[in-house]
Amino acid sequence: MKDSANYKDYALLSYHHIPGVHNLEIFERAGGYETMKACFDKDPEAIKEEVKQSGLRGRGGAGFSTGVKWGFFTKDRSAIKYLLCNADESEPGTFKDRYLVEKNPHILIEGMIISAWALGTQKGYIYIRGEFYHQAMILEKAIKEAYANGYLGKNILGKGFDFDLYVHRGAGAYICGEETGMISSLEGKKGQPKLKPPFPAIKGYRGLPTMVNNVESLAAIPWIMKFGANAYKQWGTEKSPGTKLFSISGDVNKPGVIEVPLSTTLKEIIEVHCGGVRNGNKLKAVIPGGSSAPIFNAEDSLIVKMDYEDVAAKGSMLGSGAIIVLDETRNMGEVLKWTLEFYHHESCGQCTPCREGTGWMEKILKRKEIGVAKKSDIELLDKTAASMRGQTICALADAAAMPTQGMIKVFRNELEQYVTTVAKK
Amino acid sequence: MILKSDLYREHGFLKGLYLGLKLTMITMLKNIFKQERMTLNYPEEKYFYSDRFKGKHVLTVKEDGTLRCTSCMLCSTYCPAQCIHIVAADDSDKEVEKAPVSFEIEMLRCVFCGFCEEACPVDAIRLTNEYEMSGHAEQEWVADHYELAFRKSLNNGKGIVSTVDDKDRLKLRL
Amino acid sequence: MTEKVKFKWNGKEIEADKGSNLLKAALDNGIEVAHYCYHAGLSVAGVCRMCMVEQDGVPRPFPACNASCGEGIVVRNDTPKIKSSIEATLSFHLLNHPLDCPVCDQAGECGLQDYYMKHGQYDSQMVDKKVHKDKVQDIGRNVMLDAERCILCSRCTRFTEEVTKTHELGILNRGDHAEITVNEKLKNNYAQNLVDICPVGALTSKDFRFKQRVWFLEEVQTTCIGCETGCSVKVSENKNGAFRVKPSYDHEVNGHWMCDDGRNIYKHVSGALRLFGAQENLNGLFVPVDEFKTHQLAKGKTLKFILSTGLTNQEYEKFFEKIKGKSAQVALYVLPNQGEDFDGLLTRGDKNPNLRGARKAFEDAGYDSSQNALDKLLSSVSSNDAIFVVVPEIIYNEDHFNTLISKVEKAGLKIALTHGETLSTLRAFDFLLPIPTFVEKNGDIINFQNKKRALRSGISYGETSKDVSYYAGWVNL
Repeated sequence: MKDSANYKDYALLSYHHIPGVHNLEIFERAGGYETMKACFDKDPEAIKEEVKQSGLRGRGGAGFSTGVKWGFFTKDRSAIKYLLCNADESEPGTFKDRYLVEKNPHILIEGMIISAWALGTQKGYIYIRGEFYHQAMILEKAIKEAYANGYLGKNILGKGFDFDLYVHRGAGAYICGEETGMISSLEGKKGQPKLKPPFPAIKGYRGLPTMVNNVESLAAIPWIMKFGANAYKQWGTEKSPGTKLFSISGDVNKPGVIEVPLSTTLKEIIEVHCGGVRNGNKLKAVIPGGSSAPIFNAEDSLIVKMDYEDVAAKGSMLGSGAIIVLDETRNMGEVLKWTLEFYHHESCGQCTPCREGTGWMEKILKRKEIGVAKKSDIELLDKTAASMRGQTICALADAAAMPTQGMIKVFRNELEQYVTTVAKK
Repeated sequence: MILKSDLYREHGFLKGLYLGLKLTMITMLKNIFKQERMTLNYPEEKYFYSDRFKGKHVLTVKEDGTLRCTSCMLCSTYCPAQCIHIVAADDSDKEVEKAPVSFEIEMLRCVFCGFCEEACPVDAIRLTNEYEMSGHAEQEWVADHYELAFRKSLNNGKGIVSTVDDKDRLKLRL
Repeated sequence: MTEKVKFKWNGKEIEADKGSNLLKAALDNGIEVAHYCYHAGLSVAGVCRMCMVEQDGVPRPFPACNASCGEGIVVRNDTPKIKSSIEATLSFHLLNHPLDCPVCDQAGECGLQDYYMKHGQYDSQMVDKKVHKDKVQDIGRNVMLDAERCILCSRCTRFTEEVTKTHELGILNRGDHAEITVNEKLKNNYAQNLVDICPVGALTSKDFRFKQRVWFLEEVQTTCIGCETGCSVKVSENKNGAFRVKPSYDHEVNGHWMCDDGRNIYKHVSGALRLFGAQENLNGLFVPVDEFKTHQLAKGKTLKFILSTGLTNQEYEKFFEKIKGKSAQVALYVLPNQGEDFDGLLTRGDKNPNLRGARKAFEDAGYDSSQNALDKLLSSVSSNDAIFVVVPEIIYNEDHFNTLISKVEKAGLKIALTHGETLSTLRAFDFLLPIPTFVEKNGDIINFQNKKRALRSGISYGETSKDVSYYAGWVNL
């Protein structure tokens, strides 16, 4: 892990080096909730403007500007509306929100209170992944502390502003990480994405305006409000300012969560922060943004800069910043098989292309098991993936199709070999 | 064939005479020495048509001896003589689901075109090379499914088993 | 008055209400757009992804069912991109479909078959194991479910959620293992509509199951005579008989639906009990007889008529014309109410299809249609009377009708005008004379809204050339 002295330089993990910071008392002693108190004196519109100026982009994966998204939200402060925090971190390879919440739940709560004040929402929900039982308990405890201190509840700090915050645990569905799927789940229905338009900002939870933000986006708000938008812009590029948490897994010597400014090169992340590829093996490929991002081969991975634009220009996406490093010992066919199995299992079954397509892609890749595989199956796989893209309500079909197409583009020969080789018994 | 009436002008009469007599002589000589006759002593002797002959219908059966027909009515839809009458009902086997309780062909109406055979999606009906059919009353000419599937001439009453693409289908079951 | 907008669909100019559903506007204007999940009577689900369109100035294709009509928009679904995407989506629909068209009742009117002919990828690339689900499930109310054939368009679940609000159906599991399931059994009186709205053969009717292939059937557009609502229906029939009743869309009366009770109104039409001519009662057994004999016996007697409420306005009119100025007693038998007055959707307790028409015709002709008149007629029955009772086509409460029969027993000549020997109590009559059923006559009836509803004739299954007015011609001969 990184030297703890470096942490204070950055925004999100700036408290993480303090032992016991998940306790409100220690968090406050380190300067927590100060920003929140200061923000209650500010005009909500000014807070929105500041966030917009900071150029903070949604950290959930799509990378849409948080400030602009807030701008779509209703300005009617008396209307009933909701703030949802998306902590349903289910993308394979991603574990940044878990780390953030586990070590320092109060920074999220502080961020949510500031956001609630800015947006005028009366109720907030943290939809946390079902498997994160431990983290949910930490959050519950932190919320209880915040209630006890009067930071949540009726008439916060005597400012006449009410905000209630609840933790809701999911039941382990990947699709509930999609904002409308999460809203369906929260409403007590089957976790299936809803048709857009209307967008949740207009008609979301219970048909009322709902703002859904990622944990990391909300946790960045206190820092931005404390030091200002310009200070946030010192990191990263003009279009992708700020810092970002990356969760690095796979064949590196020191996997884990790190916070670096956007536009740091992938080479630096792997070699400096993660101590290089495991056992001195040769790097084979890197998935830069979680399992739904197209894969990079070794050459591309060494030159790519980890910001939204540069990763997109190289044909992949930054997504949630889950870097999966694969060394030369890995079989790409197996990687694709696990990816497709995951998406087949997680497709909600609503839209036909995704429901049938994810299952079929897995079957095509596994045709050797029934003895009908041939080389052209890869062509069929590519075609099937292409016909799934852009056809469905949510992005799960794309999330399954993009890595498939990306993998075929980069490792076609290896895959052709994979599908036709029958394992020896 | 239409003969040109003025052919003789080209070839003369003798050539025509020669050609005609040549065929006659060849045939005569063949019959004298080879004893090949065009007629049969029917019914003691019988002519065997090829399997592609479109004769009396047969309903094929599955390995367990039940009818293959699923009563989809495609044959009766396609039949130009409208001589096939099927009454369908539920089958107790969920895999089969639908089976005929009665399958009748009016033989006197049938034109033996073989369309039913072509329309059938499950190889349940075939036309055989049986050509001997006789009967006194009209009733005898309505063949029910016992007659069509289990008559004596078909495998001694056991019926003709067909398993076309059954194996392929079963292989793909989970 | 809503604002109208004009837009272009594949180059064709369409006028529609502003903000109305784009797909509906196209369908209403006779454009064929492939779709499964959209149904005009239900909410939008947008899951089948068949109605994808491209709009000028919009970067991505979107489903037309979730878009609204706007002024001047240019929409296309015949571009190569959309065409190939429809093709691909249809192939996904068919991927795990069991392809048991030979045993499927939907074959012939199946959305998958229809669109396959148009958008199919004819060479199959599917060699893998299909996902198998439960077949032949009886889920109650005469509905059969085959989960394997289902394409999960969710029309049925939305129907039970939105229309009947009984929530019996739901989708279980995720991904390609998702399937329609029923929590207990269907329990609403509109369950047969599920069969109609299912675009494939997943939900089929147990009543119609394996009776006929749909391509042998012809549809007669007529009106349901099950109750006073008068829903627009289509009766499917061929020379072998009538086989089913389906609702047809009528904006003013029934919308898209009809009740399960109404589905049974075809059963008497082609039954074995239909009359092909006059029949005489010989010690409890009805045998064919020349109608002339009845005619002769009726001569010189006082003729009394008890009409039913199931006749058309034209029949009443002709009847009263025939007996005009002659001495005949006429009364109206009104069917008793059955069940609750109105169930909130379509079914009404008043089971008289044309009570309003009958009352008006009686009034116009100067006759009394009230219960008093019927009582008066019944109390005055004597052996010098020939009494004609028109038997209602559909009798829900047989006991009520039987009391009427018991009251006419004193009459010298008892004649039932009926389409068939439907009740055992008809043995009290001396003669049965044939009249046509509702799908064998043209005319109007008047429903609960005082609206004229049309009855149209199809194929005849019995003697239908003589109606009530023909027998009225026997008066004072």
